[in-house]
Amino acid sequence: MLLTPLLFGTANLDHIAAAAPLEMMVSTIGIILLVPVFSPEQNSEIADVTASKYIAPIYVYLIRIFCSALGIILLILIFSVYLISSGCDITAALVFGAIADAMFLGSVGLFAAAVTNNLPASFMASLLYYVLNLTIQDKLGYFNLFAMMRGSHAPNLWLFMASTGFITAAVGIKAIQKR
Amino acid sequence: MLFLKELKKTVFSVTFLMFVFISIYLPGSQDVLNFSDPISVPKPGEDYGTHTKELPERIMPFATARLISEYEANSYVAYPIGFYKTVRLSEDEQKQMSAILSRLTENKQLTYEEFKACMQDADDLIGGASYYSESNLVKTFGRVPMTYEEALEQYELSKNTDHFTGTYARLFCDYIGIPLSILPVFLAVAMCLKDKRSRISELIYTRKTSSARLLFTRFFAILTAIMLPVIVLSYISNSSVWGMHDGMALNYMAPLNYALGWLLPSAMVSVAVGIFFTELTGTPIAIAVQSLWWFIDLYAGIARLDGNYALFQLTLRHNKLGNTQAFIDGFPTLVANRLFFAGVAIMLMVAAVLIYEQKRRGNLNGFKASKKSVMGLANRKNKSEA
Repeated sequence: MLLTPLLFGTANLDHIAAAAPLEMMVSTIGIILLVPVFSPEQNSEIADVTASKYIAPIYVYLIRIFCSALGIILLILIFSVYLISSGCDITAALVFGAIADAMFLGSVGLFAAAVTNNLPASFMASLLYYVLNLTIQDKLGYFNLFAMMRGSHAPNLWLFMASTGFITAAVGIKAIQKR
Repeated sequence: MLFLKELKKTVFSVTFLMFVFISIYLPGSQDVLNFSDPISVPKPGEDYGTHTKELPERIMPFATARLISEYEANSYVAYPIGFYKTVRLSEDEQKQMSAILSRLTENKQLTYEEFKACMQDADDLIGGASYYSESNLVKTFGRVPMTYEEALEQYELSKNTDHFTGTYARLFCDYIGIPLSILPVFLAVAMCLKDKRSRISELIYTRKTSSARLLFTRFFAILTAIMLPVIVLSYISNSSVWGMHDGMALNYMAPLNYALGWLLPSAMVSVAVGIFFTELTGTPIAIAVQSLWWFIDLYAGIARLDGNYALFQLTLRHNKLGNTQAFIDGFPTLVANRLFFAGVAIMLMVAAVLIYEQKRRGNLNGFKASKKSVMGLANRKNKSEA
């Protein structure tokens, strides 16, 4: 996020141009904050300790996911305020779209983490989806992360809904694994 | 044999399967696994496309006219990291732009050097990456139609220097080089963390095998696992054009030469970063380090898509079929670049061996060691206060 103004230049951007740093750079914080949610339990000693506690691990996961989502929203809001102060045309739809992008990217990795129980593979899944958006974004339809740069806000809701679906599925898989 | 064990561990992993999938899917989606355009002899009267030439008599009036029109609309186009944006200037900045325009239009004896300095000032005001930046000025305003003689010259270069196959191998490398600069780090991190998760790190520490042998064997095993499918794909891609150039002198070694010369150093760096940072910290932080490097390098490289190689560019780009002259001109930089990155990878591996050696002796244990040192200092301070 700190590098974004240096790489892109964030002064006096209209809402189409302002979508680029939000979609292409800031959205990647979703990967950093959401993907490692299950990683502490990859250490079997920690997994044994959490499993022995009165509170079920699922609640712990949900609290972690809530904190990560809150972190994503806060960081994107802070960056959006910075863009507004730099004279950019930032709309609420743009901010929501950036949050949806970040949540979706992170949730793809989180889902992969639940399935594979392998942290590097989970980061790889999120990165793969990001690369697909650089190469075949026209074929991704409502799941195009970089649509706002082309003036379309249609995928935002789809991405957000899909991210909640992936998160629910990931937690569901973990719940089944615990049994 | 240790090498085969490491190779087997790499190949039978989820991360390797994902690597193979991406390596096939990405070039496939860009149609570089099955080329369909042959390089043919240009015929008089055809459209040979355009190319750029630094012609001051063409660039100066066109660039000035464009700057005037953008100034009047107060809407300046720029392409930072390759993406379009428009910039509005403040009143004060518009006044400065007006002064630049006066220098451009009022001085009838303006030299090309003075013109370029004015354009640089305009670019600085816009915030960089505009049409008037040093790298974009010729690219934007120096585009001229290619003549028959120039098209013929390009064909001869593809035929005599690249032997046709070289130019296709270069384009394949351009696409596969993007994932190859980042994905190996995932494999390296996964392999190193696997030891920790299976709790065999301490067991390995006690073995007689030297740290250098252990880590370099892992390094070469991962590289072998990565490069074998890449070389196979490179030949699959290249063989699709062999039939199109029947009877010509083709270089059948080009896919192998490019895979080893062009791609291997990038993969080496990615693997070495993975091993070094995982051994240093015991965490997957290497993924973040390499991702950040790859991210900045990838976007910075968009300005050099057509074969304008830079010394410190990790992922070399040559996103154009042909353009052999650019390859010839940039060859010394390309060689220096690849040697530099191969050297960086080896240095990182040597550092990783030193760290691993210390860990085996019990002197270093990732974050625990640094925490211990800090706690030690704190305790000492408390004691002296008491």
